[in-house]
Amino acid sequence: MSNPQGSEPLVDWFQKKNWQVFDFQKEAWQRYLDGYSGLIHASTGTGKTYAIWPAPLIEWMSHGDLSDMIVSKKDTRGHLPLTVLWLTPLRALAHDIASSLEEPVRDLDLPFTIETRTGDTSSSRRAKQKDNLPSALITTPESLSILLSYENSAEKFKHLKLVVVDEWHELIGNKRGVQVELALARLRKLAPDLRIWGLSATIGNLEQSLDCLLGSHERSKSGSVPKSCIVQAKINKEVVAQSVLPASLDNLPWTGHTGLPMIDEVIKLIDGGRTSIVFTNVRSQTEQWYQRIIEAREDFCGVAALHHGSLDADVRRWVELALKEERLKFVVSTSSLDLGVDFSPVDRVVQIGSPKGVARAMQRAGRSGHSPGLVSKLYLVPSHALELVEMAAARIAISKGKVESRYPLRNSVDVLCQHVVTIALGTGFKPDELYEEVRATNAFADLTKDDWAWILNFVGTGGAALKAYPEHQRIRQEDEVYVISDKTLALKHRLSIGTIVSDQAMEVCFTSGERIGQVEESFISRLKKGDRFIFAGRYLELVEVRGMKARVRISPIKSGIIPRWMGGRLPLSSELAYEVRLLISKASAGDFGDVEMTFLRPLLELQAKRSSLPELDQILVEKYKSRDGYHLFVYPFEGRLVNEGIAILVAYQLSRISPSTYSIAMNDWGFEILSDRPIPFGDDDADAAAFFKNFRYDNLLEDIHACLNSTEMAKRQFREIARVAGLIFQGYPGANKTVKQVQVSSGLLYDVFVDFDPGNLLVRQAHDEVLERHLEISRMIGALSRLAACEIVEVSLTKASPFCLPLMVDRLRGKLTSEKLAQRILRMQLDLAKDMRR
Amino acid sequence: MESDKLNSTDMKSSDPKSSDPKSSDPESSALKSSIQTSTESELVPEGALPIVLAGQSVILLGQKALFIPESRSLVVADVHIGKAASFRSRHFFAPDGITNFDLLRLGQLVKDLSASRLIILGDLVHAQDGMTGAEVEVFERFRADHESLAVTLVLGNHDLKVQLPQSWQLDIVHGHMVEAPFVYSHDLIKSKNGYVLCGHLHPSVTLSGQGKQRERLPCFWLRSHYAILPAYGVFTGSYTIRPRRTDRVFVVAHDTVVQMA
Repeated sequence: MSNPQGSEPLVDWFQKKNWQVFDFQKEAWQRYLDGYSGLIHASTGTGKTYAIWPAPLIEWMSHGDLSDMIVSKKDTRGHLPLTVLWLTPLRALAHDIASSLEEPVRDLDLPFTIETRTGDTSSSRRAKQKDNLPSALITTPESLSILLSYENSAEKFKHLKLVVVDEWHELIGNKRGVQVELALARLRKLAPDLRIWGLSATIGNLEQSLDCLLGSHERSKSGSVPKSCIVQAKINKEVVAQSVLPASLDNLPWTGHTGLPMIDEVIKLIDGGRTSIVFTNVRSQTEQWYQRIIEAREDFCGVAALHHGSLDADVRRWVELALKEERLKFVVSTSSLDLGVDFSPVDRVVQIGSPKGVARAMQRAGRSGHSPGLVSKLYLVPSHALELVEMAAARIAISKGKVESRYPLRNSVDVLCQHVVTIALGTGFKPDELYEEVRATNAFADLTKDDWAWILNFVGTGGAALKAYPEHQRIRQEDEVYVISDKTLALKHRLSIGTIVSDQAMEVCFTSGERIGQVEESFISRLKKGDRFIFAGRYLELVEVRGMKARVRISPIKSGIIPRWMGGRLPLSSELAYEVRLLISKASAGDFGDVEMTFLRPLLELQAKRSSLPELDQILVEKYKSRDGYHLFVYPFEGRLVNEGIAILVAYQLSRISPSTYSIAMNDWGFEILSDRPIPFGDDDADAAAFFKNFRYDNLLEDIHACLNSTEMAKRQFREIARVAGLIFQGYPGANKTVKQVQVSSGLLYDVFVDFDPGNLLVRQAHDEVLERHLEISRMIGALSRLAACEIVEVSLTKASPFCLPLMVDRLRGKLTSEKLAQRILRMQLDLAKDMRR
Repeated sequence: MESDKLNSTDMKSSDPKSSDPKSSDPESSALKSSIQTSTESELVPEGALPIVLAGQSVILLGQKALFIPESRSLVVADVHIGKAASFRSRHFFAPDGITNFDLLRLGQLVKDLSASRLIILGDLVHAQDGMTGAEVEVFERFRADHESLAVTLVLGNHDLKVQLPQSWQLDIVHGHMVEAPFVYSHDLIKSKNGYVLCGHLHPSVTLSGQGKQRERLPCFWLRSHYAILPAYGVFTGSYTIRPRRTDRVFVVAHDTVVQMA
């Protein structure tokens, strides 16, 4: 491909560096110069950053004299106004991107300044940026929203030429993605000449993700041909995945999630490589693993580190730098190191526990062998025996290149409520204009006038639209423009911007004042002075709690409890779930060909002996009586979210046979329905098989809605929505007391909304989210008709089977009841004070 | 709703030692149809449970209130009028109609039980910025509907920060009020003058059962020298207590009071 006009200085610069300019990079430059927006599809470590960054530089260089554009004469020569905005989902990436962007600017002596702005940026730096933004700003979706909430945002963004949304595949499908869509719609309004480029790793639905990124804006513009495109890197990163097996099957537990029994194998892996990243799925696991490895191998002290989102920014930055400079042998990390950062020394990635999805596995694998041409190596370490089947499935799916799709969210009213307040603080808005702007996004393309009126009312326009709530007025009308001018409100809102919901965090610092990181308040509040806990890889002792700060000192005694942070469990993707079913089915036919399956053979044969191994066209149903009560286990292999949906529907139909109460547990393989009394499957001697054969899904929609109302699922979902929509204020850092009077649990709010505010859109959203995630009608129909079409293999267990054990011990449970509460509690006991228990 | 309620007869038969009802009350003939006769001919509203407290017969009501038949006194704690409005004033959306609902239910109880007196164990109101015209009016209407009812408010911590409207016609008590055999208070106090009835805590308990069942419900918490009432208001949270084996705990399951063994 020929070089785009004016790109010579950049091409020369590449050559001086001994770098090849890839065709896809030239293609993207050209498209940008021609006025296109688009999506660049490339794996990490294949030169994505330089596929788009040179484009605005070329554009500027070919413009000739633009000295009147130069702002801020304070520095010696001045610089261009804010021209490029670079959005990254992870603040850890910002510094890395900044140095990549700086290189050509410095070498070519261009008047571009480059700065970062994230939650980690110092407040003095942020204050400076309020008045004077750099030519290129690297920031997160949350920090961008905060910028939009400042009054002078229209002025700031008017020269913007390019927004890059890095790692777009990570944002799509969650509320941060919706937040980005809304911010982009705003930026288009403020900067007419704007082009938007997404950078994405492989996902199953690239076209859709491009549409979602750009919204309908391009198409609506005077009916012109949409100027958008997908640029394909055509460089495939080679990923080699391998499951790690212990010496003997007996070393692996049947259930569990820490993976610690595999510690010797993991240490061997670390020893065998140059630098490793050990990924865990949750933060508490990171602390555990770090501690145990260090204890086992004292020689690792000084060359080991841990990294997760609750650690202080300085600590994280040190770890990232040390990793890059090859001063570390290994880092134990959560998803905080999932993306982007170029850690060239890393040559292997160890994943503890199932990666749950192909995309995630490949993403993590891509942290190793980061440069073009190198191979990424991924070692999968099981935390319990049957997880090896998921690992085999992941390995097979990776080799097949079967990557999941990520579906964009629609109608996330909570995010829109937050956005409207942001805009009212910033430029202010005229309702009709903002309505059109918002409808140009993919997320709100179907937003009705009525819903818009409700939202305006909700955010506090004093009841201009619907019901009058004179006391609830924070947005006032000035010359037809709705604005918020109250400084306190502005501060409160900026503190709560964002869609990542976590419990109130408490800062942990040494008595000297040195910050270590954050732990959830609920954890600290359970500790007494002198109690020990493990955090940031150290044994700490609580000295005192003052305000929102927990002061600690290093404990000489090496024991303590580990904080648990909130965080959902990822469901197994349906791609992997299918591979798992296939592997189990092969095993039932005696085919244990894959290494993991060969290894697991004794356990799978035990499952076959105590119960059964279901074939592809079979559904396994197990019944079991234990001390806890009467269990029913069913294995649809649909991933935990859909399994939960099926479980609820099954429990609902069972509960209509006779009044009963069911406790429900689910995992990626199946679900458990547990009762304190024998479960009736129909008339007298009807068995479970007959029940499933006669399962009625003609009234599925009705049943689903009945289930929604009779379970806590929507209430659970509402928790996140209430926080995002600003219904629940987390408080100022350090000023906890004043907040108490407006603190209320999201559950209580949900109840009063249901009873007193029937048209509440946030309640509707909670229902919709449950319907989409757990009870998605098409997947339900698919799964249930499979259930009906399959042969039901019903087994009465005399001993717990390997399949059912993980379900039995799961404490995270749902409930469905058709009994009168007052009757039911007669069979229950009070939870008494601890010292009174025997 | 009806189907959720349990007949009080069932409740009593399940718990023979729970009460010591005295013979029929002459005034009870005035009671409305929603009140049923128990096996022991005590007149008790549906879902309620008669017990003896400090030698006095009282009725624990499924509406999270307590009734003393002898003095025809209805006792509630922690109503928190205007909490939703206060939230709205502080720019947190909360729906309208909660106060109205709470007071309509209270009015119904007054009527059904022919109560002549209402004793509020503190926190009748939530905060000054929740005292909007509409909220003040709702209570005025309640007063107008029950003109002969005497209303006594034992001030709670929330009440102290609010200008209480004259139009509400409240008999205000600071601290506590002694009326043998009871001492009425908002906070839990130690008193030699009688058995303390108080609120403030918003108690609830967790129950567990076979089949990994768990439930968290508001409750009356009775100990040797005091009883703590559940919060009356719908828009109030609760605090989970861990009772001792010797405590008497009566949970409110929807609208039914159940004594836990």
